[in-house]
Amino acid sequence: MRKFWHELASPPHFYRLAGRLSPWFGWVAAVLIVGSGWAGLFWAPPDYQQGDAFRIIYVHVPSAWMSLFVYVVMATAAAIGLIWRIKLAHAVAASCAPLGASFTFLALATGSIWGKPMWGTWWEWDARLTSELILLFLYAGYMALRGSIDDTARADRASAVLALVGVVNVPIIHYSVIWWSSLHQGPTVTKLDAPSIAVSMLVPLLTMSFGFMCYFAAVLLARVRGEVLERERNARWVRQYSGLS
Amino acid sequence: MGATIFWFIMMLGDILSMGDYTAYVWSAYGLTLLVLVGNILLARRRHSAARLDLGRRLQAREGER
Repeated sequence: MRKFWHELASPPHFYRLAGRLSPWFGWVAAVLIVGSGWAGLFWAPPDYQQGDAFRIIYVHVPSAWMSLFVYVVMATAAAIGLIWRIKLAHAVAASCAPLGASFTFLALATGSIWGKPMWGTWWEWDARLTSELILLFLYAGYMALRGSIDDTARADRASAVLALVGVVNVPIIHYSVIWWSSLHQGPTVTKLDAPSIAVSMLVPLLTMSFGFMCYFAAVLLARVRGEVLERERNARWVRQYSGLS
Repeated sequence: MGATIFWFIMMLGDILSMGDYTAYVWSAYGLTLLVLVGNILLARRRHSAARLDLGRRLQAREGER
């Protein structure tokens, strides 16, 4: 096991492994997203109150889940990089940020599009919406901080601290609908007793979420490859593995 | 020909119709597709740019020799 982690942390090994795995995750994601998108749009029945507007759930909820999941991955990678000084972990954290920001943007934008016909407004300074907006600012701050420091090692350390501080916002977002009186609906799928959503509506939602997860893995691996190549440009292995020898 | 195109457009409109919420639903899905595809293109471009930069560096180094 120790050998596995040791090998995984090695940039040449990871670069090669990521190049092999990324297309597989990509194809699985494409099949799941297209299939679930079709099922969500045409197969799932309309909601008895919201009609067809509820179908936005299939892009809004997976985006919102991913915005939190990516942040946790980013903070974990940053912590690993900070504690064990593994450069590859910092490369993973840096590659997570733009993806997490785009999922957060999607969650906010699709939520806003859904909110207009249901709530009668594009935006409300509600606890869930505001804490999700803070998450977008955290991603933006992380990327801005990295961009403002020329020295990669210093940028890694400073941004890792910011990522770790920002973790506090993750449970706030998740529990905001319970802790505060919110316009946003409460938990539907993640309730511990039983999800209050029909199975025909739930299945496309879960498969779409898994598709988003595979999509994230595919794009993250591709991004990390670029990041590793930039960071290791002076290393001897780069010539061999990048096919530029 | 014109009637066929008209019939096709009408049929497509029926299939894609989401009642009173067509514009909201399709704009949400369209935006999602745009962001997902954009992320893939950006990741590929970043990797290509890194490889191109590396190639230039190696060529310059070879030239120095």
